Amino acid sequence: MAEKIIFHIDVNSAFLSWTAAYRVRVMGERFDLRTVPSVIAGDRESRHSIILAKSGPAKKYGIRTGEPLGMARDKCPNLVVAEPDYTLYTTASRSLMELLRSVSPAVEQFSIDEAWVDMTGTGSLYGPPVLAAERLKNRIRDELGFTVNIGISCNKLLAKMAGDFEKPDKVHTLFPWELSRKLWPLPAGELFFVGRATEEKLRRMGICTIGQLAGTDPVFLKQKLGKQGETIWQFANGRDTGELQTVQPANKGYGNSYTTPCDVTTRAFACQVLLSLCETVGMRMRRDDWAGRCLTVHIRSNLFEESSRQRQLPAATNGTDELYRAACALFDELWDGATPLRQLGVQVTKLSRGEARQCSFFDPTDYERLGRLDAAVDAIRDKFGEDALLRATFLKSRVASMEGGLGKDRRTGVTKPVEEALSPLARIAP
Amino acid sequence: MEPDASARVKRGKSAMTRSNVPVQMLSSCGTDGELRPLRFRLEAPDHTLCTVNITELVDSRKVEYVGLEAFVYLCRAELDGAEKLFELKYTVRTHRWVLFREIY
Repeated sequence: MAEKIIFHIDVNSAFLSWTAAYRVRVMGERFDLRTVPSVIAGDRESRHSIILAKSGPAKKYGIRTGEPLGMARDKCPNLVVAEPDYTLYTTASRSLMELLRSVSPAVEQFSIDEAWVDMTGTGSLYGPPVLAAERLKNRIRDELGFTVNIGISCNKLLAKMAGDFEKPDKVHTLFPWELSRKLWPLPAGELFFVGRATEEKLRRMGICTIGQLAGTDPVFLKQKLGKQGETIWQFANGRDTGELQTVQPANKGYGNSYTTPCDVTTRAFACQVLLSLCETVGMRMRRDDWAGRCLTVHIRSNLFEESSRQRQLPAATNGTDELYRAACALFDELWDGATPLRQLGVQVTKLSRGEARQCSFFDPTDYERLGRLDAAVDAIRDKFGEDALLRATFLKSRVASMEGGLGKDRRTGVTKPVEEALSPLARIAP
Repeated sequence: MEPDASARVKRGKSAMTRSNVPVQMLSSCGTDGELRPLRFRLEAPDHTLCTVNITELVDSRKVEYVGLEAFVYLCRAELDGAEKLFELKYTVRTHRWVLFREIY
């Protein structure tokens, strides 16, 4: 069989590139955001305004993705800030994936702006991989108006690592024989799967570069870091057995969280937020026809301390009311009643479909009736919009009736494959 | 040429130098789906309307920048005895025509 060739395509600072390309190529502006220190950041008024993407010049000021907008402004006073446009990003992402699918049938979308393409055996069609990648990169730039980085290798991991080398608008290779020269001198934190916490642990073991990690005894790493230790050792040595997944695997759980505009200090307000989250989670689960047995509630304090608690439910459920009652009970166990909270989250896991419910002598609730109510509410909201019907508690409340997830204009499939997220009907069909 | 007409042409010229101006369009649609701009009207900076007749369609191409499907038409027209070359753009999703830019 021919040698495997995998491309990893990554849009250079995606949200910023897309907004910039839109302004220049579609709106005909002369001024290009990509040439000045600029960032994409959410609404400035609310507390969740963080940097979503930054331009190359902004990076030189040390601005990092994910940090608060205020902090970035301190680093660079004349920073240009643009608002995100999620409809545009979905369109751009979909067009990119379409273009990639026209090149090869095996495309795995990893996120809104990243994908792997299996180019094995396309040599006689497109030529050698590096030239094919150059052409693909230029085609995306000329046809879609934004730049990408393409990493080439023989597996997904190395292709992704190669894609992260020098940016923007570049093609890099990282074949196993190039590991010692290109990958191993990099700091360990650059490796896929190594986050800040693991990087710190590795540093305490005296492992600073990927090369040192690759040379460490895997048994020792497994002892220290568990399963992940073995995985990152394999990765550091360029081994990745993961196949391209062209079909997205099913959700393992449904969860939503919400950062409140002001700190939560009363139980009543917290319960309102929980109810609103349960509405969202429940509706999403019902839409996909899943029920879950395990409920998790997590809270984040104003000092960013996280804690969570989970519980098995008596029966698998997706009913808003049942989820809400269980969530409140968990919340009461979790919260001391005094610490101000900035974020609450609800998650349902251990999913199942079409399970019969065990009736209980001790629980007189008519779940069938509640189920019919939920179905009616969902139908009305589907037809007339999410705000068409809401519980009286949300009247004149600071919390919307269905919080969590992305704002309405943003519900475009950042966490789900774009196509699927766009048409809820597609998900109901088997 | 009567003074009124020359003033109108002047207005038309100044209107054309801006870019990305929404225009009203008369166009023809062929049996094969081919769209052809014929005549358009736009608002000059002094808020009067001026009409431009397209004399020649030089080139047309489909663009898909950031995934937004649009057709760009390179057209010629005559304004006040001077030839003008400019790009008109039709965005499929919004069904809108704009005078995208003036080349000369």
